[in-house]
Amino acid sequence: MVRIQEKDFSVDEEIELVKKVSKRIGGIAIFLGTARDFSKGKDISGLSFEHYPVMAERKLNEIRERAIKEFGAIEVSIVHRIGKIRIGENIVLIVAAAEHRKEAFNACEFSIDELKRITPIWKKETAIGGEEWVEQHP
Amino acid sequence: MIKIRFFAGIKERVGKEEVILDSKGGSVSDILKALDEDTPRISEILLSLKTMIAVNHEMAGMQTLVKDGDEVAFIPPFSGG
Repeated sequence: MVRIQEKDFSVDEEIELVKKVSKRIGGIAIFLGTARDFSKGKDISGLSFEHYPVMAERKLNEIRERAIKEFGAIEVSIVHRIGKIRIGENIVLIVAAAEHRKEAFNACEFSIDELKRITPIWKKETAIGGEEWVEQHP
Repeated sequence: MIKIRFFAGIKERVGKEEVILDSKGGSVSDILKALDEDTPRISEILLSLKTMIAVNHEMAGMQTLVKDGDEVAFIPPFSGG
């Protein structure tokens, strides 16, 4: 349940897909990353994302499997958009489902942290002064 | 043949997306030397950036061995999410 796609996603639909996996699910934690209009002191007018096909999907699958095995989640879904993204739009969604809230929160936090750390996806910010690739993440 | 790929800011600095090297392999370090023959001073550009290396879609290093048919990617630090 990992996808990298240009088109926007529906948070409700993604949650429903995860809920269908098991009736043991009793708690779902989500992280939704959205496009902010301000970065490092500059006004940002838009973003675009590029990924390394095959490797990026492979890393997301690894993260999902680890979130399930090591953090006790029942299912974890990860969706990341690429291409041009306008301010306010969705960028990334993690849906982590578990029997109880603690496992769901932990799996969700692990998944977004690992996504930022090991997944070959890059962000380019467009500001008044021009475009710039971002080479680190907070 | 070895496929060399560049991404994001590195792709823009290098000015191309990929290079097909007619090489039987060696270490990534050897591949960089061979790349310079295709694109002069490309290794200097790559080494001046915070470049990371992936071989066949897994993170690698300068001493990682590469063989015929492999794919080597030069990639900047990640900024997804």
